[in-house]
Amino acid sequence: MDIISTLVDRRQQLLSALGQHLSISLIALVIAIIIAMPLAFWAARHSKAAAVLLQIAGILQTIPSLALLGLLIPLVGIGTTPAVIALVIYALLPIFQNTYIGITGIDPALEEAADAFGMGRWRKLRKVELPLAAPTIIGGIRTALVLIIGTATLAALIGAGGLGSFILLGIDRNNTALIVIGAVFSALLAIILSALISWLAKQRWQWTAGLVVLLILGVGGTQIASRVNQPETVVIAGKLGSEPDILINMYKQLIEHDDPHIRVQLKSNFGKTTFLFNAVKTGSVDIYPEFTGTVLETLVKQDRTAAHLTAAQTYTAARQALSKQFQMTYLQPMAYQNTYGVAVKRRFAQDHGLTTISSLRNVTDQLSAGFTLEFLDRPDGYQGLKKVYGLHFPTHSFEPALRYAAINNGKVNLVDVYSTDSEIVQYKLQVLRDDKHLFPPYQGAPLMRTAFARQHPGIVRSLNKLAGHITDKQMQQMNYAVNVRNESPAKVARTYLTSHGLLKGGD
Amino acid sequence: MAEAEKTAIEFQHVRKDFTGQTILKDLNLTIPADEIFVLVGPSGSGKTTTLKMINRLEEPTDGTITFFGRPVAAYPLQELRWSIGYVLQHIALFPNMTVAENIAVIPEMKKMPRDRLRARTEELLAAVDLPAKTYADRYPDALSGGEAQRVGIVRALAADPGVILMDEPFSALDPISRTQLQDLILRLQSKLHKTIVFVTHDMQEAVKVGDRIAVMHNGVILQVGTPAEIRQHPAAAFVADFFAGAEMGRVAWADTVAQVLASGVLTATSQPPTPAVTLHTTVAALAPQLAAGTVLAVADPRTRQTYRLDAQGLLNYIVRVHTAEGESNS
Repeated sequence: MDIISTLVDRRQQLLSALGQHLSISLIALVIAIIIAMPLAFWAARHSKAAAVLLQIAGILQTIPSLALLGLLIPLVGIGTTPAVIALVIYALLPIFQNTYIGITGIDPALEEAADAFGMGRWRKLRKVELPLAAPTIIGGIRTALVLIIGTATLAALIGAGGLGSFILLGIDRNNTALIVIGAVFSALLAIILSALISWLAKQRWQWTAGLVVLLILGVGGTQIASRVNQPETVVIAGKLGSEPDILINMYKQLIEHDDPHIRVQLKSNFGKTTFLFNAVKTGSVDIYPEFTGTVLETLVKQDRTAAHLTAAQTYTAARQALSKQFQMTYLQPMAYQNTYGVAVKRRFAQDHGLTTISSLRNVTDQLSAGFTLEFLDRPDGYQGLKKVYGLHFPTHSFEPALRYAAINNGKVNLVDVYSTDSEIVQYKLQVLRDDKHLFPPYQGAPLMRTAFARQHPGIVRSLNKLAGHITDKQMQQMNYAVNVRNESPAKVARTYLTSHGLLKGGD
Repeated sequence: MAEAEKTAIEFQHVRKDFTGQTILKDLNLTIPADEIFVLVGPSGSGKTTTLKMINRLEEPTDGTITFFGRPVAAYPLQELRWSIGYVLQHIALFPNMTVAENIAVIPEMKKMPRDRLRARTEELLAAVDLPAKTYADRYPDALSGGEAQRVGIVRALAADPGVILMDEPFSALDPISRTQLQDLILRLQSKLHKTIVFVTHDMQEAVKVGDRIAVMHNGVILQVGTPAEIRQHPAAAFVADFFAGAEMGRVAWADTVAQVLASGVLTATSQPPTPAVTLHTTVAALAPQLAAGTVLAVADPRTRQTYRLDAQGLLNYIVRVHTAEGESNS
C-alpha cells in the first residue's frame, strides 16, 4: 500500500529516473560492444595478446565500483560521463571474453573450409564467424547488460541520476518504499532488456541495427534538445540528506525568482563531501552548500585545527583558505550551527547519569557506537574523542541514516549526530554536551568558484539574502517536515522563504 | 587419337618444415589432368600437407608448385581457390546455412546469376541422389553423415572448378555410406572428367577410386603408378605390406553372413534370430553394431540351427579366413 502510494506520488520522478537509467546503461553497453568486440576478433588471431587483454579486463572488473567512480571524478568530473565510463569498464570483460571464446571455439574445420573456398577476411567474419559465435556473444552481452543495470544504481552517487537516486533517497529518509521501488524497477529493467536482447538475437539483424540507430538518435536527440533549450543553466548540488536538499531548493527559488532567465538544475543527494568539492573544482557543479567546519577540517590545508575557534573565526579562516588555495568564493553563512555531537537514548542517559561527553568515561565498557564513516575518520570526530576525551570503545560504521535505525533497535547505544537532525526528536535522543569543545562550529554557506561568482553578481546577491537566516530550531523543524512528514524539500523551502519575506515580488 | 597427357599440378623439389622438423623432403610429383589421383599412406606420411599446398592452405618451405604451368604463388589467392574445389574429412558444412546456402558459397562470391545458381544446385543435388525439393532448405544438423558429405561434394563442384581436392573425404563415414560415396565419385567422374586429388589412408579405397596412386610414407613418395602396376610390382617392402593389409581387410568387409555361417566358427544359441540380419547382410554392415557390444543371432537354413553372432565370432571368422588364404597361397 505504502509502495503503491509512493509510486503514484512519484511517477513523474520514476519515469525520468527510468529514462536516465536506461540511457546511461544502453550508451555504456553500446560503447562496450564497440570496444570489446573488435578487440576480441583481433585477439582471436593473436593468442598471446588475448591472454594479456583477458587479464587486464579481469583486473578492471575487480576494482570496486565505488572506488572506480571516485577515481574518475578528478579526471572527468561528475554526472553521466564518469558513470558511463565506469559501466563500460565493467561491461568489457563479459563481452570480450564471450566474443573471444565464441570465435576461438569455432570448429577449425569450418575455418579451414572458409579459407579454402577463398572467402576474404570480412566475408568469413560476416558469413561464418559472427553467425557461429553469435549465441556466445549474445550471452556475453546479456551478462554485461545485467551487470551494467545493477551497477548503474551507483551512478546516483555522482549525480548521474537513475534508479539509484530512489535507493539512496530511501536509505537516507529511512523510507523502505523508495528502496523497494528503486530495486524492483532496476531488476525489472534488467530482466526485460535481457529478454529483449535474446529475442532480437533470433530476428533478422536488420531489426537490431534499426533499433540501435533509433536508440542513438533518440538519446542524442534529447541531449541536443536539452542543450539547445537551455539559455543559461546553473547547476547546484547538495550532499545526501534532507538539509542540503532543502537549502539547494531555497537557492534555486531565490535565483530563479530574481532572474527568470536563469534555469537552475538541482542535483540533490549527490554524495559525499569530496565528490562535491571536486565537482565544483572541475566545474561540473557551480554551487553547493558547505559547512565552515568541514572546509577547515577536510578541504583546505592548514596548520591549526578549527577546534576552540568561534563561529565567526571559523568562517573567516575557511573563506580565506578557500580563496587562496582553490580560487573559490565562500558566501555569508546562515545562522544555524550544525555541529557534530554524540547522542545516546534519553533513557540510557538517565540510567547512567550522562550529561556530558566526559561522563561517558564511566560507562565505556558498556558502549557500542554506530558512527558514520566520515565521523570515524575525522580529527574532530572519533579521532578527537579518543585524543581529547581519552575515550575508547567498540565502533561500527554506518550509512548516515542507518545509524539512527541502529540505535533505535538497540544494535548500538551511541551515535554521532548533527545538531539539526530531525531524528534527535524522532528517536528521543539526548545530545551530550561537548564540555571540552572538541567539535568546531559548523555553519552552512554557499561555495562556488570565484570566476563563477564574478560572472554572476546577481546570483551572489540572491544567495546572500539567506545570510544570518534560519535558526537551529527552524532547521530541525524543516528536516522533520521532509524526513518524517514526507513533505517535498521544494515545498518546505518555499514555505520558509515566503513566510520570511525572502521571495518578495520581483524587483 | 591419343591425346597428349596434360599436366594439372606439378611439385618440384618441395620441402616443408613444421617447427624445425622436416615432414616433406624433396617432393617431386606430377599430377595429370582429368583423372583421379590418390595420395595414400598411413597417418603422418605428409599426404594431407601435400594436398593443402595446392590451394595454399599450407605454404612450402622450399620448392615450387605449379598449377597448369604457373606457380600457385603467382595466382591471386582468391582466384586460385575459387578454381579449386575442396572436400574436407570433417565435411564442415556451415551449420548456420541451409544446404542450398552452403552450395552457394563460392558461386555467390563469383557472382553467378541467381537463376543459374538455382538450376545448378538442383541439377547437382539430383546427381548425388538428394532431391532439391526435400534437401535444399534443410540445415546440416538434419542430415546423416553420408548425406552431408554428398552436399560437401556438391559444394565443391558448384562453381565448376577444374580441380577438386578431397582430404580423406569418406574416412568419417560408416562403411556402407563410404562404399556408396566411392561409387558416386566414380559415377560423377565418368561424366565430369575433373582433375581430382584424393587423399586417403585406406589402400582399398585408393585402389578402388584411383586412376593413379602415389604411396607416401614418412614424407617421401615411395611409388607412383596405376593400381595394377603397384599391385604387381611394389617398389618397396612397405608398399607390398600396405597392399597386403588392404587385401586382407577387403576380404572380410565384403563377405556376407552366409559365408560367415559356412566357415563354422559360430556357436549355437537359444536366442531368437535377429530379424534385420539376412544371409546377404555384409560384414561391413554388421561390424559397427558388433563393435558396440550388440549380440545378434542368425538362423542357418542348412543346419536349421540358430547361431550367436557377436564381436568374438566375427574376429574368429577373420582369423579363419586369413589362415585359410595363407594356406591356399603357399
